[in-house]
This record gives sequence, structure tokens and C-alpha cells, in this order.
Amino acid sequence: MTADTVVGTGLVRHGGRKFSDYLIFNTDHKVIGIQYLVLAFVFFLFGGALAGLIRAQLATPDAQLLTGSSYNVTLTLHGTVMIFLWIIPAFVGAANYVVPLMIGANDMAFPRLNAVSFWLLVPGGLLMLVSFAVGGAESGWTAYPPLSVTTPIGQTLWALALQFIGFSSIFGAINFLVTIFNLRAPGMGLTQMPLLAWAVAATSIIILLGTPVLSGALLMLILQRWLGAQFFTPAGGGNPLLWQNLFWFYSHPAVYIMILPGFGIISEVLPIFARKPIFGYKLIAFSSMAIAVFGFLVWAHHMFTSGMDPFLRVPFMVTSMIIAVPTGVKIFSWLATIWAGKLRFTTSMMFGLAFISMFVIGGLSGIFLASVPIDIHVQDTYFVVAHLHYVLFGGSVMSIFAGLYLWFPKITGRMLDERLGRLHFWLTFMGFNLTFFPQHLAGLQGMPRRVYTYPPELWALNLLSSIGAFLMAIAVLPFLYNALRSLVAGKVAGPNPWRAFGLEWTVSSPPPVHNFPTPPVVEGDPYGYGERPLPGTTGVAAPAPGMAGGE
Amino acid sequence: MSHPTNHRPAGSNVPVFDNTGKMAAIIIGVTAVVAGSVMGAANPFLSNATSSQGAQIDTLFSLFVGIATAIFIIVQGFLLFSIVRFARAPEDEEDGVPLRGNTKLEVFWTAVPALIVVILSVLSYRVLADIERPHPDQMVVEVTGRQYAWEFYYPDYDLKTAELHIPLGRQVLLKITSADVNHAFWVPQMRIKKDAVGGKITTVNITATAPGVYPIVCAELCGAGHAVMRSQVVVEAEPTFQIWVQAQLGAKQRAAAMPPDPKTLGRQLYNQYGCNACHKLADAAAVGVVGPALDGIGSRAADIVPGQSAEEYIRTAIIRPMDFITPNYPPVMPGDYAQRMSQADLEALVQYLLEQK
Ligand code: HEC
Ligand SMILES: [Cu+2]
Ligand SMILES: [Cu+2]
Repeated sequence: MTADTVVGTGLVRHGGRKFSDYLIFNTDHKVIGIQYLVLAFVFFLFGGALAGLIRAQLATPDAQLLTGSSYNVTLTLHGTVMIFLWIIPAFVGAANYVVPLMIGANDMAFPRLNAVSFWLLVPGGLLMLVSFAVGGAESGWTAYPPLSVTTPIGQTLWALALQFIGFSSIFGAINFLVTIFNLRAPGMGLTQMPLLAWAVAATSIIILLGTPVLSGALLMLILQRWLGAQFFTPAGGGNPLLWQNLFWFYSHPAVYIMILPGFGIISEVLPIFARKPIFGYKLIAFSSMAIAVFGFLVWAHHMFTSGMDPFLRVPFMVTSMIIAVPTGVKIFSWLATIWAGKLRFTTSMMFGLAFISMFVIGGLSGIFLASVPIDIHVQDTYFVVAHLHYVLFGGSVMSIFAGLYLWFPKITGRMLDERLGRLHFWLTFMGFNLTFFPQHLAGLQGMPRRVYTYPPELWALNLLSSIGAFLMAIAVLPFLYNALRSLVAGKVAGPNPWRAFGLEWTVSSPPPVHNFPTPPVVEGDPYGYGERPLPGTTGVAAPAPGMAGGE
Repeated sequence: MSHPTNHRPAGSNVPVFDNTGKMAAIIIGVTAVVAGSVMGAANPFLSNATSSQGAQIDTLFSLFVGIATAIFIIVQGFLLFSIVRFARAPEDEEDGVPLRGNTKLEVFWTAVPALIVVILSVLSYRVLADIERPHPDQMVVEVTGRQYAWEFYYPDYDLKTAELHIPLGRQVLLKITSADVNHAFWVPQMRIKKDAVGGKITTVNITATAPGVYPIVCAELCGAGHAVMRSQVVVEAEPTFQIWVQAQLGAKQRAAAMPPDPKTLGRQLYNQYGCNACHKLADAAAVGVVGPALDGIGSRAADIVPGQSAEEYIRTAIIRPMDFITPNYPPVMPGDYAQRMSQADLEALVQYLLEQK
């Protein structure tokens, strides 16, 4: 089922043959994947610049760079951009590019809908920038009313922007589910699917169940702001906690929208560079699905101090603790995957290993937060800020980079420079820990989140954070330089530079417009290291040993 | 690099679980237990809590620290060991051992974490039930958060204050609400936090265990002045507390009986409306640093906004603070004084500030 739109004419195109094909409504999943990735990366730089401003303000207790509303606008935009315009779309972009190739499909199930999803993200992103230009939203990415109904117009544009992004996400999820369940190459049963496909399927289920609730809540917020509806304000019979329930019903699962694809990427990276099959395939696949279901039963852990029903805190505490189990299972399975392997420390692998190491810290601090009595102290403090960055940067962003270094050769046909890659990795890794580890302590010692000034006792910890942030900012430079230079001057990659299993490595790099000139042959799951010969590069038949893998 | 073959009989030279592996597992395990116990016992992350509820939370926290440390060391330990031990030799093109799973191991590492989190949940529940159990002779204080100040009302004494005083050792029930947006009442040293939500009363118990003065922090983003929405809780022995109450009541009665002289009234209003939290003013013994110091405001007010007299400037600064933002200061002065102050209070305060030459 390919979209044989007339190629190269008018405003609808299919395939990325020339530069302008990437700037237009294009129905090729590979073009769309790149469109997503590039747009998301631009927003990453923007969100990072905002983070830089925040850390500059907080480098000393009483700085005057950003105070009051302007500080609040900055942190709101930073959070919103990083979540909705960087991490989520970056994963959608990566999955868009590789999942159809990995399952042997020629495109996504609905190529035009796929393009629509991307082109909904663009006005969403633009509106977000416009909201900033007119003063911005200033109630945090969580936008709790009543504050979010009293703030200026920027908040309305913020909500409208998220509506666009939400629909983009919903359409994308439908597309991924249909693609993964209907378009697999003949012979690829569910248990031969790459784990990334499982992860994306689980993510899509979460999006389908959760995002409509966010859309509804945003609509209510917009109605309250425009038409004076009183959903969230007690004076008119509304309830501020209603928003919190609706928002977190989406936004806790959204954490998994932001991490499950990362789990999927790590499950691809580790086997390739450990030269071993993934350990515990079924349990990993199953735990993604378990998370997709359980993820909807924990949201009120964000509301333990909100005055919610006191008894209900207990079941929510138990579910929030239990959801750590499927995550723990994955971590142990990954450790077993590298055990007795033949590890190759490519940059992709280093980001992959760092993911395990950092994510586990975020997971452990999550258990603290799940415990109601401990949460009473640490809720809404820098401890939470540290926790969420260990999950979303230490986890999600590390996995995005692991995936970028893995698939860059597939996408561009060129290798990235490994030395620059290592520089990027080490600066990121050190900067990240320096930035976020001290924040646990600042939170425990009394620093609430979202403040532009703090008591002088907390200065040392904050200064460390700010120095770390500076390192992280510098870390981007070698990556940018590397990516741009390698595009033109990188070593030619060939179809399978990593000698990897997986159907995406059986086609040329970059792949032909319609992916598989001849239908691919599936010999098993893509983790046959040490078990069977690598398939050839044509996708027709298993080659004689030695044909595959040209570095 | 050439790959003569990409596949060899696997695992020929990597023993899956040889003696080195076993040793490593034992060392990692022992280190995890030792480090977990030490960290749990020492809990270097928190200084002593100053409430009995906080002390219980800290004990629980220490247990979590111990367990988290142990898990942390297990994961990082195996990770580091694998990185060192299973690094590929430069010319080694073989694959690793094709291990696809091990049911016993997988059941083990599903069941053990599940057991741990269930135990942690039970222990957490017990602490929760304990810290929220009401004591029969609780004292009630009503707390109201508003942009950007806290207000405390003692129904037993019909007394309103801008800082919280509580007696040592007696359980205090705080009934918290908000006059506007959401806030959160947090005393970090006491580990007590509860949101202030409009139209709703939330409750929390505190039993102070150490005399002293501890900051009260707003933990829920509430607008431009969120960062400076602070007050303090003063813990004093019961007799001292009673003396304080009587002094406050006396001051209140005197004020009601005969109108105080303008200066005393001015000082009182200045503190009552929380100006002292943000503006330094020697005459009122105020030390706030959020806004400009108001010492001498009476002599410079006329020269700030062209066309405004000193009196007009000060009045506008109070009731419409957004009209003119003093350079180099954040625009966080509360905007609702026009609604909260009686005309008489406003004029008295303006006159008082005009006298600050
Ligand atoms: C939350 C902190 C805060 C509180 C409470 C507060 N102010 Fe302010 N005030 C500020 C800040 C910050 C400024 C400077 C920025 C501005 O002009 O808004 C300011 C400015 C002023 C000015 C102008 C000072 C100058 O040098 O030009 C006056 C007068 C003033 N406040 C009076 C008061 C009075 C009287 C009260 C109590 C009724 C009060 N403020 C309460 C923060 C506060
Ligand atoms: Cu959550
Ligand atoms: Cu507040």
C-alpha cells in the first residue's frame, strides 16, 4: 500500500529526491521522518537556549536577568517546548523513518495522514512561538488553573498550539498502529517484530487513550478563558482539581509516550553493539504493554498534596510503586543483554549505556515520589525537577542520541565522525550529571521549583547546576558540526555499516524511495547475533558469509 | 576493516558465568548491601526534621535511601563490570553468546522488585496513617494563601497575623485555603506541605519538636511573585507562646479602644498588610529585600514619575503597582491592595510613608 502520488509535481510529493522535497507536503515516511527530526531538533536548540537563560538567572541567588513573570514565561515555554516539540516529535520522527523499514513495509499505512500529522505540528510550533512573542504563558507546562485563567493572552495561544500538536499526535498514533499490525512483511509474526515496533505500538495506544483527554481539558481551559465558563474556578462552582485530574490523566501516561520509544531504541542499540540477541524479548515486549495499561492508573501521584481524597492516595501510591516493576525488568534484561557480549563502544552504544545508568537514577527517585509521606516533603521541589530530568534527559534524550548515531548512516548514507561523537557524549554526560544531580539536594534542602531567586545557602548547589548547563550547551556544538560535516564529507556508510540484523539494514543507505524493491525475507527476529548469518544487502536471499557489512 | 566472516560458532571464548563473573557478582552484591546500610543509616541528604511528622518521614526516607543505594550499586556495578570485562578486543569480529533468556532469572527479577515495592508501600502507608492521626487537644490555625503572602488566623483567640507562631510539642491542625490561585504551604525543615486551593480547605498536622524560626515557602507556582511568597513559623515553648498571644491581643485591643497615633498605626498597617516582607523600612523594623527599601520614600517620591506628587506616587504605587515599575525590580508587588484595604487604612499608610523622610 504505497502512495503513488504523482511524483515531484504540485504541492504533494512522494520521496526525497531533492532539497525542496523536504519543504513540502510529502507523503514519503522517510521524508516525513526527517522533517520531524529536523523541526524537533530546532526546537531542542530553542528549548535549550531557554534553559540556558534559566540557569543564568539561577547561577546566583539574586540575579536580575529574568524575574517575576518573565522568568515564569521562560520556564513554561522551556517545559512545553522540550516535551511537546522536541522529545515527542523526535521520537515520532525517528519511528516514522525506521519503523516501516524495520518491519519491511514500503511506507506507513496512511501516507497522506502521515504528512497531515507533520503539518499540524508546524502551526502548533509556530503558535507556541507567537504566544511567546505576545507575552507568553506563565503558569508552567502544567498550566494549573486558576492561575492559568488569569494570565494574559499568551496562555490562550499556548492552549491552541497544544491542540494542534495533540491532533498531530493522535493521527500519528492511528497510523503507527495500523502500520505495525497490518503492514509487516510476510513471515514477520508479532514476536519477530523489532522491540522498537512493540514500543511504538504501546506508545500509540497511550496516545489514543490519553491525548483526547488533554484536548478536552484544553478546550475547557480555552472556553473558560474566552467565554467565561467556570470549569476550574470555585467562585463559579468549578473545581481547580478537575484540571489536575484531567491533565495528569494524560500527562502521566505522556511520560511513557516520552520514554517507551526510548526503551525501544535501546533494545535495538544494545544487541547490535554487544553482538548478542536481546535478552528476554517477550518480557520486554510484554512490559511495554503492561506500562501502557498501568500508566493510566497512577496519575494522582501528582496530586498527593493537593487535598485530593485522602484515602485514594493509598491505591495510587501502590500502583505508582508497582509500575516500577516492568521498568526494572527492562533494565535487568538490558544488563543481561550486554553480559557476555562483545561490546563495541561506538557513540551510539555509549549513549545507550549511559541511558541505562542515568535512567535508573530517575527510576529510583520516582519510587521516592510514589511514597505519599516522602512526596509530602519533595513534591513541587527541585527534587522533582531533578527526577524528571533524569527520566527525560538521562532517559529520553540519551536514547534519541543513541538512535541518531545508530541510524544517521542509514538516513544519510554517511558515517558520523566517532571522535566528535565521543566528545559530544562525554560533554553531555558530565554536563548532565553536574546540572541535575545537585538539584536533588537543593530540593531536599528547601528549594521549591519555578523560583527565580532562592536563599543564599543554596548558592553552591545552584552554581554547580549552572556550570553543568553550560557544559551541556557546549556539547551540542561538536554534534552540530559533526552532523553537518558528515552530510557532505562523511565516510560512505554502505547498507549495513554496523553489521546489524534488521530489515532496515538490508536496503541501501539512504533507502530507495519505495523501500523494498523486492519484498524482504524475514528469517527471524532482528536479534540473531551469534545464531545465524547476517542476511545480504539485497533482501533477496541469505548471502554467503562475508558478503555483508562493508565498512 | 574486513570481515572474513560475520558469523562464527558463538561464545567460544566468552564464558557466560565464569569465576570472574561470580566474583564480580559477589563483590557487587556485598558492596550494595554495605553501602545501602551505611547510606540508609547516615542519610546525609537531610538535616534533622523539626517536627514529629517530619522525623517519621525522615526515617522512611532513610530506608528508601538505603534501598535505592543498593539497587543503584547493583545496576551500575554490573554495567561497569560488563563494560570492562566484555569490551571487544580490537580484532575480534565474533559475536557474543546468544543467550535469549532464562526463565528463572526473569521470574526472579520480576518478583523481587515487586516484593520490595509492596513492602515499601506498606511501610509508607503506616507512616502516612501515623502522621495524619489527629491528637485530641489540637490547636487550630487557619491559613490563607494569597498572591503573594500568607495570613494566619487563630480562631481560639480571634487573632490574625502574617507569621505563624506555634507552641512547642502541641499538635497544630492547619486548615489551609487560598484567596486566589493555588499555592502550597511548605515548611521544609518540618517536611510538611499542603496545597492551598480556593474554595476548598485542606488540612495538615504539625507537632513542632524544636524551638526556632523556620521559613515557610510557597511551593506551587502562583504568579510573578511566587518566588518571594515566604513567611516564617516561630516555634516557642508553650508559656512564651501564650505571652506572644497575649501581647498580640493586647495590641489589638489597644488599637480598638483608642486610635493609636498615626505613626504607630502606620507601622502596624505596614506589617499587617505584609509590606514588611518585601520592603525594608527601619522605622517599622522591616527587613524585606524583594522591593526597594522605603526608607526616605517621603523625600524622593515626588521626583519619580513626572507630574505626580509624592502623595499621588505612593498611593498609586500601592493600589496600581503596575503603573510604574521601579527599574531593576521585578513586577511582583501584589495588585489587589485596592480591594483588600479600606480607604482609611490606605490613607493612613500613605501618610505614614510620606513621613519617611
Ligand atoms: C511581594 C512583595 C511586595 C509586597 C508584599 C509589597 N511590595 Fe511594594 N513593591 C514591591 C516591588 C518588587 C516593588 C518594585 C517594583 C514595582 O515598582 O512594582 C515595589 C514598589 C513599591 C513602591 C515604589 C517604591 C519606589 O522606590 O519607587 C512603593 C511605595 C511600595 N512598593 C509600597 C508598598 C506597600 C505600602 C506595601 C504594603 C501595603 C507593599 N509595597 C507591598 C514588592 C512588594
Ligand atoms: Cu506521573
Ligand atoms: Cu504562592
